[in-house]
Amino acid sequence: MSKYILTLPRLFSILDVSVRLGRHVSSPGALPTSLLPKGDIVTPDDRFHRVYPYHKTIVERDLREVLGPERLITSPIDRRAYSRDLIVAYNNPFPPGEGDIAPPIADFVVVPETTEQVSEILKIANTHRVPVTPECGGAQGSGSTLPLHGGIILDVKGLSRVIDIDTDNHTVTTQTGLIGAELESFLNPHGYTTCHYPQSLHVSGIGGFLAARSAGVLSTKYGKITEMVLGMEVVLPSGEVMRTKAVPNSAAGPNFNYLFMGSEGTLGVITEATLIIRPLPETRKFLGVLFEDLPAAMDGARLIMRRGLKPAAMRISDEMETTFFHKMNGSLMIAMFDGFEELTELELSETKKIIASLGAEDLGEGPGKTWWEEKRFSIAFPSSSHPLFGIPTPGTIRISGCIDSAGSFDYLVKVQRGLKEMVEGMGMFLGAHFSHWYPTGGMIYPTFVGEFKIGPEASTTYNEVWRRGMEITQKLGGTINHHHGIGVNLGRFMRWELGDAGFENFRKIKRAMDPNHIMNPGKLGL
Amino acid sequence: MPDLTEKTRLCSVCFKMCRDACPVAGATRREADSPHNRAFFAYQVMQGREGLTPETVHYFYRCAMCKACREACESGMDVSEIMLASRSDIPPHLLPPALLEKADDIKSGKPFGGDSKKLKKIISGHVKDTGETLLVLGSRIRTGDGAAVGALLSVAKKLGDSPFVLKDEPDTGQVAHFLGFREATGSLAKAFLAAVEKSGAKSVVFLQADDARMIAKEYETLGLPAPGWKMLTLPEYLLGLLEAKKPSFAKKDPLTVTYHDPGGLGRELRLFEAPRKIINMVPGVTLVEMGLNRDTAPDCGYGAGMELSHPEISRGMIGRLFVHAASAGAAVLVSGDPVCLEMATTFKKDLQETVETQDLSLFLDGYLT
Repeated sequence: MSKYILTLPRLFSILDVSVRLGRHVSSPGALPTSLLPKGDIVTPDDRFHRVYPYHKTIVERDLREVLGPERLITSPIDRRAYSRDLIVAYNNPFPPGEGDIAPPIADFVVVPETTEQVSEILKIANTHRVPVTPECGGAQGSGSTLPLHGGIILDVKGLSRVIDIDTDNHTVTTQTGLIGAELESFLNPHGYTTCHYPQSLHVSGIGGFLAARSAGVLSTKYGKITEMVLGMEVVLPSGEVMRTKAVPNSAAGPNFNYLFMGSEGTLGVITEATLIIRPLPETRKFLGVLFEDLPAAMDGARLIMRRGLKPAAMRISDEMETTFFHKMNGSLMIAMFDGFEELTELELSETKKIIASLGAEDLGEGPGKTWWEEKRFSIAFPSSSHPLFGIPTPGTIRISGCIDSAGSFDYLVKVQRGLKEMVEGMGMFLGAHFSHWYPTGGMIYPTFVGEFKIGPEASTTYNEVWRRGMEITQKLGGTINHHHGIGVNLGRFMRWELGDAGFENFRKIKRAMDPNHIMNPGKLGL
Repeated sequence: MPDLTEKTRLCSVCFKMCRDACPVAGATRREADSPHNRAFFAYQVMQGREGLTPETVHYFYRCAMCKACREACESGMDVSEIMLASRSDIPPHLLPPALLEKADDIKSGKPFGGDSKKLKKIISGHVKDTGETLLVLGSRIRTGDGAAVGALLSVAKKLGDSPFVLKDEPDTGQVAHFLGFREATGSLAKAFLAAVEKSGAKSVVFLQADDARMIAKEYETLGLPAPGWKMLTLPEYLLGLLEAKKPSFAKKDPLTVTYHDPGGLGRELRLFEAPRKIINMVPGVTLVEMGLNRDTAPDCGYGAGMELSHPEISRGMIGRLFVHAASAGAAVLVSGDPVCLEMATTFKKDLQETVETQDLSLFLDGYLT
């Protein structure tokens, strides 16, 4: 049974004191919690009935002393810019007067350049009990970087130095404020790359990659960011600075990298990281395969992984996506192989043997090459006819989201069928692809899109599709999220994910590390 | 004016994919400076959710008009187009104070002031009323120390050409245009065309890429006729001279340089290879590419006049360019536009890390015998 923290109204004193009562909304966009399905709201935990009283003028004075005027921003436009991520309703608000929801606005934006400045900021925040919301690229769609309780937005993009590129030992040490593509622009002239290419490469940054456990399209071969990081520097909620060693591996107690990765800013601010780098691949080879249907394509993926092959990318479109985007019938697989010539040739030929044994159609390199060279970012660019960005029918609003999950090979087909039936039953469209493969399974990337009359119906539907989607993933044994992160939208399901004991001990860790609950409150269900 | 409502709406709901391309956002590191956020605010103003306040207007002037966002967008959306429209004939009380102060200078075609004494001395032997090849120095270059102009005149002489310069060089109107002074732009542009016509020049060489871009891309939108003379950018002029004459180069110690693609030259006029060809002609010089080059090139901070309203952003932008040049392992940063050299000269004293900066003329003059 899910548990929620009760929503409370926000109060603003007429004096220069900001008082924020704890407000946890399940999905901030179109989602007043009074519209949540009945039975989802339970008793709040009094220890998290958060009150954040702070004197704005004094906090501003202390921050200015540490940062100077250029790195402390209070202009309304700048603060407003941090009040939205990719979550639909803030990104595409209701028209004025028709259910418009005021965005959450921080009082201060700080853009520190050094770890020392970050440490001082958190010390000030603790002293004055000011909530701090770390942000890097702000590219999440789950509200993780939204300042629900006001306070301070800590933009790590000011931490933008590449500290060391070590081509002898294949590492890069960098501050975490660089956008992914920016880091690549420093590495590529040296002939190296991180091989971490999420679709948001041009939007999201190193800090966000780590904080949200992101995955790039080449993760099947090179791993998620979790496999790419060696060591980190983290400023803890107290302002203390902790470093984990940048070594290939260790048995010296628990791996603390994994405490902070995925914590989405609730346990500290990651300020520096040492990552593995690899030479730019000598060759790339591509393959497109058309299977009769999704289960057949899933068998293909299973056999490829069983054979020990490591395609850099392998992407299966379900029947809807194959028809709608690729104009074919069946289930399309595209694969890419990276490396030196003999390796890529071997992996390509072995893959072709597998697909031949399954009776699938070899489409040659075309679909894969086109996807990689021309289309892998295309879904994110707007046009008036785009399913996500097009103008909605007058009087309606478009809602969309990605209920991504991961599980076994068997799970992937079942969850796709289950989600499709559920979403279509609610009058919406769902297309899915599968990528990020493991020896035991993979990840599903199902996107729902629908148009609803502006007003409560849109809010209710948005909440409900997520809730039903999570129920399906849970029932079938998958995770509630593979790499997009939890934020606010999925925080209410963290107890399902971790179980009662797991979630309660997660909260204990949070209380121990952040007793004043200043770090990104309202996220991850905390 | 074309209706930009739908374009603005689309940019404002996009997934911010142009964020890393924007040199302003790259320099300031502020979320609001992502082009997508500018479009979002513009859309809020269009929808009546936000007012057109001094703060909003100052914010819209934080765009360098460099077209990096357009090149980054697979849909070809161009937030600078929206920003240019937002600056159209802004009431004076809303303008950034620095622009209000300089409004008369901008409208008169001398946005950065008059010719510097150093420049006057350098060009004194080349000032004529008529000639074959006219050099248009540009409003920013004319206020600088003249180093790039002196080098260009020396290179031209070595390669057997003798271009001329007008004493009272008229302004193309590029700064007035990109800063939203529409009425003044029209007058300046007409006066420019008339003056060049009167000079009888067959070829006109533009040192400032944004002046060339103004003629090639913007004059048509102002309803002005295409000129009858041949327009050349500085790299095209230099390459033409080099290819016509077999130049000889001095032997010097090996040198690693990198080339910066100015936005006006590269992204707008699509001139990427001529400057590289020039650099590669010089023996002993190795050209290395920065990680950001051609369509992804950073901006030197001139920003089609943004330097006037937001010099602190200009400083950040040239600083970022230096960081990338140093990271590429270059000892010298060569630019195809002498304005970038002016920006480096102006701001380097405020920056911790700098790289020796030359424009193409200075670079060549150091090698041509």
